[in-house]
Amino acid sequence: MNRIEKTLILKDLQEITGNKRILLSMIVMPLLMSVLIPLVLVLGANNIITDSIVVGQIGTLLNSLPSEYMASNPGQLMITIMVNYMFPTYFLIIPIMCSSVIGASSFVGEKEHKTMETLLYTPISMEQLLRAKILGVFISAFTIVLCSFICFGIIVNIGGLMYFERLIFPNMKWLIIIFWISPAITILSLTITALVSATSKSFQEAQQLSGLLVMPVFFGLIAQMSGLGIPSKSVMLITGAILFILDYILIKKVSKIFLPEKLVR
Amino acid sequence: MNAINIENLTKSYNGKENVLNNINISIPKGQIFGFFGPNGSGKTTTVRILNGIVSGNSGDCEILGKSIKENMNEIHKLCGVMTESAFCYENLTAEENLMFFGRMHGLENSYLKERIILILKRLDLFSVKNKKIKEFSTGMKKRISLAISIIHNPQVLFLDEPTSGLDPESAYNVTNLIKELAAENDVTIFLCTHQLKYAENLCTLYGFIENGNLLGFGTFEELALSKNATLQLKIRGKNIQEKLGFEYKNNNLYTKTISGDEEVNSIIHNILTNNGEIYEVIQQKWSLEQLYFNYIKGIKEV
Repeated sequence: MNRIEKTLILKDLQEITGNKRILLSMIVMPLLMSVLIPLVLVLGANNIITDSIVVGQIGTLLNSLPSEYMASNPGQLMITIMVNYMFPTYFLIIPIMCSSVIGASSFVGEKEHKTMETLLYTPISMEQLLRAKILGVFISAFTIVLCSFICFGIIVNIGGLMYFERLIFPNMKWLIIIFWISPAITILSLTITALVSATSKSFQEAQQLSGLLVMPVFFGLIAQMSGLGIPSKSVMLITGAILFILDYILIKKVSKIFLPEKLVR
Repeated sequence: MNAINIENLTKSYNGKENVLNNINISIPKGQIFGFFGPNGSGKTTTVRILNGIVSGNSGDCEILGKSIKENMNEIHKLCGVMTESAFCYENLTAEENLMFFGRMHGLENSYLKERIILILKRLDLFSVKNKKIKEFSTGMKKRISLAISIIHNPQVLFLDEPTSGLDPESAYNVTNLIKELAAENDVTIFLCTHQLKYAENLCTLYGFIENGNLLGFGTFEELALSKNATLQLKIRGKNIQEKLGFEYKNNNLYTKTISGDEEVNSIIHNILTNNGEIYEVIQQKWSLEQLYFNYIKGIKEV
């Protein structure tokens, strides 16, 4: 990475942090998913799991849990469900949402605000421009994922100390999710945003289209809530590898359509 | 060496209609070239092709002897561009924008800081350097775009409507700055504008384009000559006889087409010997506006 690319990445980061709309959407949702909901669940674990209404809603999940879980007390059960069933999918939604919002701002925002043309008049090659844009979005989105992960980890460990009397987080599967699958899915989301940005005229349009990527993850969430839980480590590693291959193919595709003439018209 | 060379340039976006049709232009270094034509005539496309962000279908383009296709990054270091379709970052301040674009051109921070102060002062923007661009008026936005285009000391400067939307004072200042740039640093300027009044006092070379066809290119005198542009002698006076070939306009104003200075002396002598009175005499050349409409009108009549 040369000085020009670093300059562009820093400018993108400066713009993202200076834009209240983007900043808000980047803070609110991860805060909700990694801090507020886990905090409520941890603090009220004993009550929630015995609440008849909630039990009714997650009854299917409770019935499908392995038999060893049945020996756990309600608090322990709640923490286990959180860590193994509910939140892994949330941590796939966070990078998708963040990279599509930041990506739409970074790629289509330049087009929408007519700054892309000014940028194209500087001595930066299209390859450098694309690389800097992808890196800028990735760094921002993945930083949020890491911060969310740390906050979530602290809250889960508070729960661990409260109900298990020991630190229980992170486990190997979570490390694979955060450092293998999450980066792959972040790149996937932002390359799709970049692809969409070549044809989108507005930030909203690009964000909505690339946000469709979240749909398969929602299905995954429903599947997990039905008792499927986190897949095995090998399945997760293979899934991550497939995603990275897909990322590579998409980046190649983006670089073919990422042409100045298409970006300024 | 020519600063800009365009040979047989043709461009079509849809493969059916040409937005540029076999354009040939050569602009020597240090010239201020005015490129005039109605909206959609192909001016901006020409600027984009010359800066490598749009490619022509056929023909060759060179900037300072360098082929655009093969030296795109080099061309961007040599050229500064200000167009109506290229904006700066609204959420950044004037200084942040200039720092960003200066760094993108590879300028060192210490030099860049000095240059930013110099340019902002010259464009009367120094007092608002810490304001975000979104708080700027149209005129200020124009000036900051101009500042961005010259931050790296370009040798060729492309300006697309640099004075539109500016108040007369700002337009005058910008026009003067363009003149000074061309004179001080031997910068070649490629100026696209509709504001013929400002361009007339600024340009040394002219080009007229319509529907992608270059209708005329050259100095004012060359272009005027090819259209048989006449020189008018305007006299404000009294009792000037018709037999002397004058046409009476109004308010004691008479006009006559002349060939040059040598005719004027005898005309004045004849008026006075025929009991005519003279209060004021003016030789008037065609204005750029007249020349422009003559070229554009000419193609419409074909």
